[in-house]
Amino acid sequence: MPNSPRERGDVMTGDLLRRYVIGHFDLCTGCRICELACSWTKFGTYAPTRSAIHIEVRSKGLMVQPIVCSQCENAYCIKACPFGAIEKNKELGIIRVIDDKCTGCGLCAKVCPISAIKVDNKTKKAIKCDLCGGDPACVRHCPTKALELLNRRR
Amino acid sequence: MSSGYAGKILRIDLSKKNGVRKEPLNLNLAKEFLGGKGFGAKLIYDMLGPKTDPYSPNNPILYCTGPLTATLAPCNRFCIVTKSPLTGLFSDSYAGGYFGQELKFAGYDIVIITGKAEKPVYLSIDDGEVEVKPASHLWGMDTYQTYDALKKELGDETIKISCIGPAGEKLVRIALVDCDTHRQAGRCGTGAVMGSKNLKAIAVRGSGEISVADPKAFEKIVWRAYEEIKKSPGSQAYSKGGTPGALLSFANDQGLYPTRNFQDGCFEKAENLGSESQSKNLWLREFGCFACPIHCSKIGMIRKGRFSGAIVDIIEYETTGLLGGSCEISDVDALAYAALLCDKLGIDTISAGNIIGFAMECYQKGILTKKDTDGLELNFGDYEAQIRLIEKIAYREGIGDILAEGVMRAAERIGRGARNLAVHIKGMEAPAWGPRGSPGMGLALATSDRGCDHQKAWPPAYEIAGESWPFGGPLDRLTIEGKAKVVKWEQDHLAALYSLVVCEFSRTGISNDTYADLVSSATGWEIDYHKLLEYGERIWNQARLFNVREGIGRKEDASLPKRFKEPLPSGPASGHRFTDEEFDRMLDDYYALRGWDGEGKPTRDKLIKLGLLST
Repeated sequence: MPNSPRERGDVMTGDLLRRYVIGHFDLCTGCRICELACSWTKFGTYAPTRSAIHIEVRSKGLMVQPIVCSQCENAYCIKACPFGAIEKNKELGIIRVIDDKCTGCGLCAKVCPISAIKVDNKTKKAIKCDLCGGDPACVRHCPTKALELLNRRR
Repeated sequence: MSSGYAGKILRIDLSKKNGVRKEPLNLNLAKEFLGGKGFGAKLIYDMLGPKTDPYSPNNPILYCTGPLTATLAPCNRFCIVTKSPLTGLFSDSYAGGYFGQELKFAGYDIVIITGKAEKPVYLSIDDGEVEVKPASHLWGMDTYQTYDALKKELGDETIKISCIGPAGEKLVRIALVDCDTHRQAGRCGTGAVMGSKNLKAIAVRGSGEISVADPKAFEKIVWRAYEEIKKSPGSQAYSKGGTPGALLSFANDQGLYPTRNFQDGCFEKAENLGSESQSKNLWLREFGCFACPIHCSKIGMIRKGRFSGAIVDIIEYETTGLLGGSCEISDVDALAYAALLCDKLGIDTISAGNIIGFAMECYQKGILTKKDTDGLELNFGDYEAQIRLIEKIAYREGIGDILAEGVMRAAERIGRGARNLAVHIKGMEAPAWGPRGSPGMGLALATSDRGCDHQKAWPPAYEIAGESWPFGGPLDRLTIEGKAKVVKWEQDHLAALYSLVVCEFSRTGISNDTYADLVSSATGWEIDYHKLLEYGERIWNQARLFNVREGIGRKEDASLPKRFKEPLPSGPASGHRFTDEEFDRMLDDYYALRGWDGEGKPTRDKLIKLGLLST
C-alpha cells in the first residue's frame, strides 16, 4: 500500500483534496462488521461503542445508515475545540485528534451535527475516523461495498 | 478476559426482592462445554429436577452466548435454553440479530432467570446495573409496540431488546421470544416460559469489549473465514435469495415441501413464494445479522392489496413451507403479512403454519366443522381464515385456545381421529422438510433433541443433493445404509457450532478446520476439528441425558407421524414411505454408533469416555 495519496498519484499539487468514507444506505445490511473492524484496528478489541463508525437504524428498519466523519472542509469540531486538539492534514485530507492536547471535554461531540466524533469511555480522548491513514479497515471489511473511500479533487 | 468470553454469569431470581446476583464465569464449565448450547445443556441438567413442570418457577431460562459471540467471527449468535412447554424436553432456540452480542458487551456470557415475578416485570441491564422493573404497562402489547414503548421509556433508540407478545403472556405453547423486531428465537415455546415468569422483556445496553487469546492469529483466521464465505457458491445463494432462494426449488422439486399438511411433497404454486417472486413483490434491502457477511435476510414493503404499506421481513423458507404450502397459500403479500403478524403477536411461524394446516385438513375431512371453529370456514388456501386463526391462537380465543396447545395436544382434544393428521414428533410440529424420499431426514427429525426438528442434522445434502461429507461421499437416496452415520456426524458437528455460537448457514462457506482455528485462537485452547467434534458429541449426550431423565427412549424416538408412513403421492421419490421395520434398523444403527443401549440410553462406558461421568 503506498503511503500517501501523493505517492498513489491521486493528488495533484495545489488541489484541495477531500477524502472520506461515505456510507451508502441502499447497500448497507446493518451487520456492524465495520464497527468491529474499526474498534479492532484502533484498540485491539471488539467494542462497537469504541468504534469511529456506527450504524443508525431509521424509518422503522427500512433503512440503515452508516455514520462516519466526512472529513469536513468546514469542520465544526476543529472550530469548536478549545485546545486546538483537532487538526486537518491538508495533504492527506484527514482530520485527526491530537491525543496529547485532547482533554476529553466533549465539546466536539456536542457540536458535530452527524455524531461522527465522541469521547472514548476508556481513554477519555475524542475518537473519530482517521481513515486508518489511508486504507480504512471498515471499507476493506464491508461485505456489500456499502462503504466507499471517496477521493475528491477541486 | 482475553479468551473470547465476557467473564461473568448473571443470575436473576424473579421470586425474590433482591434476586440479582453476579458471579464469575466458571472456566471449567467453559473448557468442558464451550458455550451456547453446551452451557445450556449442562446448566439445565444440573439445575432442574426431573419431571418439573415447564411453567414451574424452577424452570430456568438460560440466555447463553459462546466464545465467538460478539467477535468479528462471521455469523455469530446466541441461544435460549429452557425446558420446553411444547415437548417437556430440553430445548434450545437460536437467534441472530444483535441482542446476544449486546449481553456480552454488557459483560455477561450467560443470563440465568428463575423464579416468578408477582406482577409483570421487565429486566433492564445497563452494563453492571441490573434492575427488575414493573411492566404492567407493557403487558398486552405486541412485540413491536413493546420495542417502541421501552425505547421511549429508557430514552435510547439503540438499546437491544428481546420480548414476548400476547401469545407468550397467555402461555401459548408455541410462543416465541422476539429479538429486536427482525429475529426470533422461535421454536419450542420459549416465549411461554418467559410469560409464565411474568417476564415481558429484557432490555440491554452494553459498552464493554471482547478480547481474544491470540489476537494476531484470530485476525488472520477471521479474514480467512470471510474469504471462504465470499468464494462459496453456497453462501452466495443465501446472499442473493435468502433461504427461499437457496432451498425452496430444491425442496419442491425433490418432493420434500410440506403441501396441504404434508399430504403431498410438491406444491404446484410454490414458485409464487420463491425468492424471485419475493424479490419482485416485497424486498427493498438486504439485512445482515451481527457480523454476518451472508445477509440471508431481506427487508421490504407490501405494495398492493389490503396489507399495502406494511414493512416486512423476508418470508423465510420454513415460513413459506408451513404458513404457505402446508396451508396451500400462495399469495406472497398475504403470506408476508401473516408472518409479520406471527412475529408481532409472538408465535413461531413453523409451528403455527403446521397447526393451521392441520386444522384445515381436519376441516376438509369433516373432523372440524363450522360449529367447532367459531363459524370460520377453514378451507385450504384461504388466507383470511389463516390470519384470523393466527390471532385466535395468539389470544387463545375459541378454537384458538385448543390449537394454542400445539398440534399434539390439540389433536387429542379434538379426537375423532385427528391424531392421524397431526404431524409432529414428541410434541414438536414438523418443519418444512417432509422426510418421505429422504430417509436420513426422517432419522434426523426423530432423533433431534428438541423434537421434530431440521436444524440439528440435514441429511438431504448428502442423500439428495450429492454433497460429500468429511467421512464419506454422497449417499444413495432411498436406502437406509449409512444414514445413521451421517446423522450422528451432523448432530455432533452442529452441536459444536451451536456452542460457539454460530449460525448453521455459515457452513455453506466456512471450512471445518477454520471453525476449529477460530475457537482455538479465541480461547487459547488447542482445539482441532477432531476435538471440536468431541465437544459436539459430549454436548449432544448431555442434552440426551436430560431427555432420558424426562422419560425419552426408543419408543418416543420411533414414534413417527402416521403421515410419514403413507406413500408420498408425487415427485421423484413418489411412493416412498417409512416402514417400522426399516426405521427400527436405522435406529439400531444410530444407537450403536452413539454408544447408546437398545433403549436409546447412553451407556456408562460412553459417558465415562465423554467425561460426563467419573469412574
